[in-house]
Amino acid sequence: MASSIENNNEKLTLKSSDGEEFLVEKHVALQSTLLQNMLDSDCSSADVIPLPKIDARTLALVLGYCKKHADASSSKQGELNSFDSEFLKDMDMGALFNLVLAANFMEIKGLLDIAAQKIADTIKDKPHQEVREIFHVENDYTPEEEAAVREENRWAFEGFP
Amino acid sequence: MPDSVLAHLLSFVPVEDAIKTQVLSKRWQFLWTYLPSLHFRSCCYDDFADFVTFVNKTLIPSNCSKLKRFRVDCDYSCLPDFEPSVSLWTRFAVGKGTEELHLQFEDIDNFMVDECRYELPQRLFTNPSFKALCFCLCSVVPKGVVAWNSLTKLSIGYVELSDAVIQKILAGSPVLEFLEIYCFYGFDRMRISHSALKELILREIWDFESNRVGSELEISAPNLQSLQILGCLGRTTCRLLDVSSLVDATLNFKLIRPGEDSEDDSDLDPEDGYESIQNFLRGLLESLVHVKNSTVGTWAIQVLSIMEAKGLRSPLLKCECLRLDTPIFQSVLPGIANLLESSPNLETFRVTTMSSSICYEEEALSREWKWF
Repeated sequence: MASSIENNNEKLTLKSSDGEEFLVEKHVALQSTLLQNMLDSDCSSADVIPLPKIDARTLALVLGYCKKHADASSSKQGELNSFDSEFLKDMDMGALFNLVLAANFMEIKGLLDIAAQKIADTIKDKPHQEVREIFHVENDYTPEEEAAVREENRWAFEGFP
Repeated sequence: MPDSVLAHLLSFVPVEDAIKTQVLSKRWQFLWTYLPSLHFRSCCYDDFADFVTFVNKTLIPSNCSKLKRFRVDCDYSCLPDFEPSVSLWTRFAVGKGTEELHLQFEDIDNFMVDECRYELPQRLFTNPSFKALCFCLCSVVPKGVVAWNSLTKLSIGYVELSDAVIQKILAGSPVLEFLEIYCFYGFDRMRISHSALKELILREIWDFESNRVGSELEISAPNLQSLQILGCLGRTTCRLLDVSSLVDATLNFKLIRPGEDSEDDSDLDPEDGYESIQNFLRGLLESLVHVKNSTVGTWAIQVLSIMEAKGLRSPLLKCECLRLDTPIFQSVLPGIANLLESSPNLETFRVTTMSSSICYEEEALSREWKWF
């Protein structure tokens, strides 16, 4: 009995927005500053922690990242780097955005940065219309307004298309 | 996506492109003014004045309340004319509570000339927000005390540093964990007894013609866990006084042997030169016998080869993991044998040729080696 209580103490349960529960080892959860702060304060690890903004698919990815980084020793930086690039390799934009939002909410700096870098690499050198489509942005400038913005900040647009 | 996340995301795009996203929509019009990290590179500009204008115009509207990183990479040869602007940039960085400041200047032609370095404004030395600092081709001369109370990482290169400046920096950086100094001259003593410093990298010491006899750099760092000595040290040798906590050591450097590179020293017996470098290397290895993970580069292995030929052993090492960073050729083989025989606790042994700083004068030493 005692041993099962001990085990419970070392794991905690996270619940995704779509109701799926994930049992996570404590040292893996500590990759998230948000969870770390919750565990440091009054939050008991026996409770189920709801993550209302993160769906199960994204949470599974996030926890995969956390587990790899929690388990690897610091001397294996090269291995972690190749894991990181492999991890994001074939991910579509929607999944990447979800990952950025989840990493931002759960305060997982490393994950936030690699996902943000990946998105940044994708939009770099793309025409503005394509960037709008990627971010689902509707151009609400009138042509006159857009021209005025360009004119006002001409220093930033000179020499660029 | 919240604006703060979008701004963070934009900080991974080159700043020139990030600013142009203001035409995407009204919501994006001012997002770029919240960029938490700014990185300016002069290499994309034909005219240096355009670069300076661009930086100035980007900084003025900045609404970011606390900057994570401010970094400038630029060619210093044109910079003296714009020094007031650069001082404004550093004032901006301090005002925004910047955590990481990188001033990476370069000047291929005049890097040895003291006047060709950017003199760091005194206000930088007492800014408590800095967590990481990288200065390249800057003159680092604090007139008063240094108060870098949050600083954990410091890298300084192309620089003259005196013993007094080094001591001021170490005394004023109580939580410093990582220190890298490269392409430097001017100091010969580092005492890091009180410090939290865990990792020290010394790469390439500049040596002047006047340093005929050779100087000695003394390092005392009882809490240090990792030490790397890399690149050409000229005629400057190192003496490790107390490195008792050291776990990782990398000796991938070369030394100019007394009499090696000058013609008018031909009256010097080359044997004297070898004698002194052997003694130096032996002394260095003796202070590193307790180290668990060692990396040794070509030059040190070749010196061990010469020692092997004379029947001189390396001190007995407790090393468990040994990495040799060297290509394999004839003149390193006896040295490798020498090292292996002196490392009875060895568990892992690797040979790599990853480092770019390896093959110092492979031929020259190989030639000399044949002479034995």
